[in-house]
Amino acid sequence: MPNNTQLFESLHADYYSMVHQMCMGFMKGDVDLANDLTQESFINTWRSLEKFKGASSYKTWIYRITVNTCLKYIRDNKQKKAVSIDPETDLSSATDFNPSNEEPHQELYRAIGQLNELDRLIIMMVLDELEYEEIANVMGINEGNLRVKIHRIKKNLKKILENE
Amino acid sequence: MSDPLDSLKDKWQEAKDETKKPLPDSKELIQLARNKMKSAVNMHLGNIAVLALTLIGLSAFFLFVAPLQNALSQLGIFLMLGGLALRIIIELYSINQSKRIDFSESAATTQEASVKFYQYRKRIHGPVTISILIAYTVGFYLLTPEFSNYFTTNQVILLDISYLGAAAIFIYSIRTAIKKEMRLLNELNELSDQFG
Repeated sequence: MPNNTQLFESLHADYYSMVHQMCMGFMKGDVDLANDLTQESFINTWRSLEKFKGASSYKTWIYRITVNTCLKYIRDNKQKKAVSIDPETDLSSATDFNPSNEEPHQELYRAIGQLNELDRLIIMMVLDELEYEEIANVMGINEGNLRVKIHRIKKNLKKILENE
Repeated sequence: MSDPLDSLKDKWQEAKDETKKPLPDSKELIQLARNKMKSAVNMHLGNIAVLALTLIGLSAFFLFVAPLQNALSQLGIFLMLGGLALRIIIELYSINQSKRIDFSESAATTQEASVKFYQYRKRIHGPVTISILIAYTVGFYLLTPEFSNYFTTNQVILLDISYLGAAAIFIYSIRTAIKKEMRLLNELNELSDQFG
C-alpha cells in the first residue's frame, strides 16, 4: 500500500489537468488565478488525505475538494476586482477583451463565466463528462434536482452562445 | 435541436489536453501544504499564548505585587481573570470548530458547515466578546477604590482614562471583526440559495 507522499504524487499526476481545467473555467480563463487555485486545491487534497475512506472514487473525491476550494477562494477574494465573478459588476472581461492576445479558449471560458458560481461548477463537470450521479455526489444535491439545474443551465448557455 | 454543450465539450477537452504538461513539482506542493498547516497552527497557538501570558501576568500581579483585599476588588479580579480564561477556552474551542469544515465532503455539506462556523464566529465576536469586555471593564473599575489607597488621585484618573483608550481600540477591532463575519455570512447565505 503506498504511503501518503506516494499516493499524493500519483493523485497529483493523474488529476492535475482535470483540476487545473476546472480552475481555469471557474476563474474565466485567468491562468495565474487558476494556477493559484489549482495549487490550493492540491494543498487541501494533501490535508484531507487521511480522511479518504474509499466511499467514492479518488476522482469524485478530488472533484469535491476542488469545488469546495473554488467556492472558498471566491468567497475569500470576492472584494478584489481581479476575481469578481458577478457578471453584472465584472466588466473586465467585456471591456478588456482583445482577440489578438487573449487565451486560445477564452470564448469557452467567457461563456461559462457568465453563469453563477454553482452553475459554472456543475456545467464544468458535465463538460468533463462526469456521470450525473457523481456530480450529484460532489455537489450534495439529489439527482432529480441536478437534472433540473442542468436543463436550466443548458438553456442559459444556449442564450449566451447565441448572443456571442 | 442540437445540444449547445456538444461544441463546448470538444473545446473543453482541447483546453484540458493543452494544460497537461509540465506538472508542478508535487514534493514542493507537499512542503508548501506542511508549511501552511504549521503556520495556521502557530497563529492559533500564538493567540492563545498571548492571552495565556496576559492571564499569568495579571494573576502574578494580583498575587505577588498587589494582593488586593477588599471584597469589591476580589470581585473585580474574578471578573477580569474569569473573562480572560473564558476567552482562552473559546479560542481552543474555535480551533476545534474550524476543523469541522471538511473540504472532502460534498459542496452542500461543506457549505452548511461553513455557515454554522461563521454563525458561531459571529456570536463569538458579537455578544460573547462584548460580554467578556464588559465583565473585564467592570472588573477593572471595581479595583479603582482600593487602588486609590496606593496611588494618587491623578494616577488613578490616568489609569482609568488609559483603560478607556485601550477599550476603544478593542471595540473598534470587535466591530471590524463582526462586519467581516457578517459579510462572509451574507455571501455564504447567497451561495446557499444557489443550492436550491
